Amino acid sequence: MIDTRTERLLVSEALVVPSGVTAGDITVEPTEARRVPGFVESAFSPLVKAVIDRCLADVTGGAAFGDEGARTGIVLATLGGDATTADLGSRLLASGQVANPLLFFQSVPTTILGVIARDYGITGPTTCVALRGDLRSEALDLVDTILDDSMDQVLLLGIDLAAEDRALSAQAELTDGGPHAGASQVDAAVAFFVRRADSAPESAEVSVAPVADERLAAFGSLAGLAQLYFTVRTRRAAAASGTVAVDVGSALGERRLHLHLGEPR
Amino acid sequence: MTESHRVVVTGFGIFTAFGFGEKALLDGVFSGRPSFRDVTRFDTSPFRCSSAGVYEGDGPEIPDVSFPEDAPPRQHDALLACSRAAIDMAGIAPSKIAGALVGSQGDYTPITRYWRSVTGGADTPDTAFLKDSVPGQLAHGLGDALGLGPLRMTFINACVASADSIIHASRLISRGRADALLCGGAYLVERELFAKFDSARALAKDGFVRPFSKDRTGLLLGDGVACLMLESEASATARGANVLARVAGWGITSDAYHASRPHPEGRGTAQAMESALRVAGLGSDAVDYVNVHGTGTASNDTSETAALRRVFGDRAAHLPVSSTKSTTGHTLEGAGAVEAVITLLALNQGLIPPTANFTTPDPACDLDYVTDGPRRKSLRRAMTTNSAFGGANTALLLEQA
Repeated sequence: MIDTRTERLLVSEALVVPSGVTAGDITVEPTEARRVPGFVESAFSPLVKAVIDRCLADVTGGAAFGDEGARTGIVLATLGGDATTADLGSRLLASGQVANPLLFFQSVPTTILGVIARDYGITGPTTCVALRGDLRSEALDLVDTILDDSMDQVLLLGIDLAAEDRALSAQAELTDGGPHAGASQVDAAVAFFVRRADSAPESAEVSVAPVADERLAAFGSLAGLAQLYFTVRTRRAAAASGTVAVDVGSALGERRLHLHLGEPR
Repeated sequence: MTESHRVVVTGFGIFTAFGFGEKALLDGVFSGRPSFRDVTRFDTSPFRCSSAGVYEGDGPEIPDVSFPEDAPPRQHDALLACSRAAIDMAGIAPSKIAGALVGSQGDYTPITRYWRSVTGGADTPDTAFLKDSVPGQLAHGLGDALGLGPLRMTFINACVASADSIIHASRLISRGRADALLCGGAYLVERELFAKFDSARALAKDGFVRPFSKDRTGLLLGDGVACLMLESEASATARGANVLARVAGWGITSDAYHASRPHPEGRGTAQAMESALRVAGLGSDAVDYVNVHGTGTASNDTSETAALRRVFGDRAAHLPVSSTKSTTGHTLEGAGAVEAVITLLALNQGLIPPTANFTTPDPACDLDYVTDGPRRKSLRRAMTTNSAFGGANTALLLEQA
């Protein structure tokens, strides 16, 4: 049962898969995620920067927000976080090498969001959350809750790296009946820039399927957000306006989120 | 916030280097006794520093938690013990709690063991409790073990993670989305992060954390796990629960300044405090004490001092402010929850915990840091602040129920 219906404006979206991926009729072209100074070895932080730069390119033209920066939040959602940095640092230490302070995995998510906040002048809440299973519902619910907590706009970022060795073994241990998402097979990040909607414009509506598309299994925990991205892109390609409805099956109840496809400004 | 959706604290459980529970905290933190000692749970000989605020069995034991010789206990076990204490204190049925929100980056010790076995040439990698290294698992494991409702979230935003868990729980309760939520966070001193802080030369060379003191030499890590039971006031009143305090306001901001250094004028911390006051509908004169992040680094101390001056103006000079990391050490992801419990006890005991180990005034830090021991003072409202790498800041405003 749907408890509530929420209207939001989806201003822009982006998906970056550095290696590219083809699944059925879905193709994502390879994209270079450029190095970010101070972040070494792992693809995590360059990927965060690349997807947000792409998502905001037509919104700010690469410039910082003005006064709106104080009413802008960022949500980073992930399953495994920067497992590459965690594993590399641990492996070096286990083999008796000196610890590299740059492999400071504890604070990678907040630190790269600090870079994003600096570059775009975002001074609202920045939060990083790790979820099990598909990230879409709880991540969108978190965005929605922050918008209701006096913010005007929120940048949602979903990110996971292809699981290897230790991360694969760890995820294989999650056999306790809780929600599972298959391990990510590609490094990927997806971003959505969402605003409060002052009104609910009348427009044709398409719904995003409640269950992630099998063709998107390579995205692991990001499959639901990737599915939302492709649905939005298809809708934008077909018409200048429209609405994408997402049933957000949060643990605190079913909600229907209406994302009205706005244009960047 | 409507009256029925006001957020209250009805229980807590806490474990630090001083041991388990309220009395351990009062005997240690509130008397200004530092907990720092040589670490024995892992070999510190490769490192410059050997000290941390670690529990070595000489305070109240944490129930049902085993301490291996070569590592800290499982975060899961310590969180479970603290959660049970919080739920028991609140007297609430677990089935009435909508879920668990935890601040933790995941348990590193299984990662250490995995790679040590691999580099040591083991036939099969050591995968014991490896699932705890998946950050999101900690909230799931905790919620499942306690039979809570289905919400499971793990906040991984470093040193504001457990403060964020309290903030998000407060948002959900204040909007009527949940009546009761368990929140908190954990960090237990282990080798991986100790090595990285040591290699970054961030750890205090003299074995003491001296916030706001001119001769400070850095921070020290500390064991810290705390869980709080948050409820709507209506829910707590209907149950006849003993309300310990209200969460009157909260704020979370970003400096938008630097990847690792705090804003020199404390802009983000000030905005977080102002946001908390705005949520509470109060002015800055309503605050009687601030438990600050206070890591004992020069950049943090001066930034926080500037933030307090921005928010409290001339009154800042007379407002009691203390850093309890001077006794517990920096409990990283656990810090927000640990210091929220300390702040709650300060309110309820009418006792301000001191900033310990202070020796020499720093001209750039000119506030009342409560350096002369614990101070008796009737407190109506108290604030606690935290900050993290990347310029993330939080503030929580607690008030007497």
